[in-house]
Amino acid sequence: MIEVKNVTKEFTKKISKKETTKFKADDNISFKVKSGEIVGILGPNGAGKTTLLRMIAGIMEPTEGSIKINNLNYHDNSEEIKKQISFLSGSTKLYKDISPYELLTMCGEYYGLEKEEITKRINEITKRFNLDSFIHQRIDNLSTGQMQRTNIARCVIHNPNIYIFDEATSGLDIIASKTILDFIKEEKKKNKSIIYSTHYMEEAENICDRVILIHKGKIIKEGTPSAIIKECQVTNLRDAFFCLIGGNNNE
Amino acid sequence: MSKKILITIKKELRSIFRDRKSIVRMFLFPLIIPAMIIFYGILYDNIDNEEITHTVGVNYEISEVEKQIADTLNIQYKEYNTKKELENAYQEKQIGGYLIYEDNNYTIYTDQSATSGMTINALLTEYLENYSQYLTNQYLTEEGIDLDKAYNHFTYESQDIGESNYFLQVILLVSITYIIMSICLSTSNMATSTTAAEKENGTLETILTFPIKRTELLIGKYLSSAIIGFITSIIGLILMIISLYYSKENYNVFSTINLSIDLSTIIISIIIIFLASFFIASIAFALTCYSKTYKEAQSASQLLNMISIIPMFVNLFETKITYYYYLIPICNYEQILIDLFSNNITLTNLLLTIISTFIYIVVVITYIIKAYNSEKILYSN
Repeated sequence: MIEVKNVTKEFTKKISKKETTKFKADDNISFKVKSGEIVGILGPNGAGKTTLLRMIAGIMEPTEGSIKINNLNYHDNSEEIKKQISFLSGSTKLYKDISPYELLTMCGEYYGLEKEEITKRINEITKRFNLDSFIHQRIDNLSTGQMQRTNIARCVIHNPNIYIFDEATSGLDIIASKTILDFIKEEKKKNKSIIYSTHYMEEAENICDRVILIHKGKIIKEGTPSAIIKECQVTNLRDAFFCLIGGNNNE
Repeated sequence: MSKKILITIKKELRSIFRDRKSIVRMFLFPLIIPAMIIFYGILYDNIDNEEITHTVGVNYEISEVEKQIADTLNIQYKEYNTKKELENAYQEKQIGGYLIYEDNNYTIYTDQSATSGMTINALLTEYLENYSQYLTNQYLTEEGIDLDKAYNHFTYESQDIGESNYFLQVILLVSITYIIMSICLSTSNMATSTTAAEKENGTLETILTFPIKRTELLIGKYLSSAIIGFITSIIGLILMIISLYYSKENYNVFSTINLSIDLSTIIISIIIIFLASFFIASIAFALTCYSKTYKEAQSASQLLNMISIIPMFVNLFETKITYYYYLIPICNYEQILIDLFSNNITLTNLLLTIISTFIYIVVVITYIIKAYNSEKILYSN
């Protein structure tokens, strides 16, 4: 269970050598994600999605508000929470000078798994994601698809309860994207909580149980994709989004 | 030590040992030390063994006595008739300088901006002094004066009371500068690849999602950098000691140096190098922490390499060194190591260096821990 309550993130931006200005990347955001639920965070680039997910993943701290993961907060239980979370971002890269096997071992060690447990998990993951043929090759020699599978594999090494995907399919071809989407569906069946951020509205429409539309750091709508589409009297989420922000807002 | 710090150290060291370019950059530098020491040995031995004859032009006829004096100084004469002919011969490089005799006055013409010109000028001056002495002696003898009584009123000799050999000082200065530079180079390279390069490659975000405290992550990265600095400098130190002993046995120019490297010298030098590695690594991290890209971090860390050569100039210009100098980091490591290997070390200077370094390390580490816990460093863009 993820509980985001009145979260605000403020940044200071330098506008000239002497002048700075403050702006809110996220403004008073609140929502919950239950077990076995896929919640989509949707919005255009710069809406505040990545900042929000970084705060949920414990990489950043909110300026105001609180984030609770399974009733634990980052201030007191940072390591315990991170052991339950997996974060996969489109900008997340892998260490290129090691093999997927070494990467998975290293991740397992960071998550505090015992040596035998790591070996067992790697064997399971290798079968699940078909890593056999390249598990001992250097990552910089792998194809994009193989890298993507390795990236997903490192997310599951510690068997997390919560997944956070930030533009995970951005820039990927249709096959690599499908690998991720199939993986998300499988994990949902295992009763995992999943936050899925994207600016591909159609993708969210197909995969998410519930979506949260964010614009300029604020939640503008929350609900099931079908309910939002129906409420806006349009045929898809993209049009619903434009309807909610008041037409073709280019800002 | 935390297990996660050890995992981070393992990760960083593995990464650096798998990158051939980094290995070459880091470990090639200490190899320059033996090459340089042996090169000095070969070069100076060759200079000592060589007998170079300098050809000089004159505008007068050389007497037998003058010829004998010139021979003792390895000066070869060529006679010309006019100043113009001498100038032409000099331009055509037939002669290295020339001597003109007019109205009982000798004028030496040489190019003193060149080493050969300076040498010829010194040789001709000596030649003229010797010739003048010969003429004086001849006159005194003709006048019936006892030359022995005229000149030898007393005897004298000189003794070198310096505590170290100048040549050894120069060799130590250059070698130790290289050792400290190798620490600067390797730690800044490590700091760059473990901080800015990780930001640029997008792997930092991955590691931040792991259950590791930022302080543990930083300490792991910092320690791996200090370890690399220590390894490269120890290689440099070992190579320096081996090459000094090898050169003492094989090259005449090193034969007079007083090398007394005992166990305590080695232990103290290892302690100094250890502290230097840890301090320089912390500075490398402080300099590179705000860099967003690999290139930015590399430029920022250049400052370290520039500082490491300052002590070389301080020593070359024979600047008076006070206690305060041993409080200046980087400069003090080089100076204390020079003192150590040339038997000039004092306990006060050693303690000043060690204690001040401890304080500096604590201050800089506190600063970088604070900096690494700020989001500005992690997402500076």
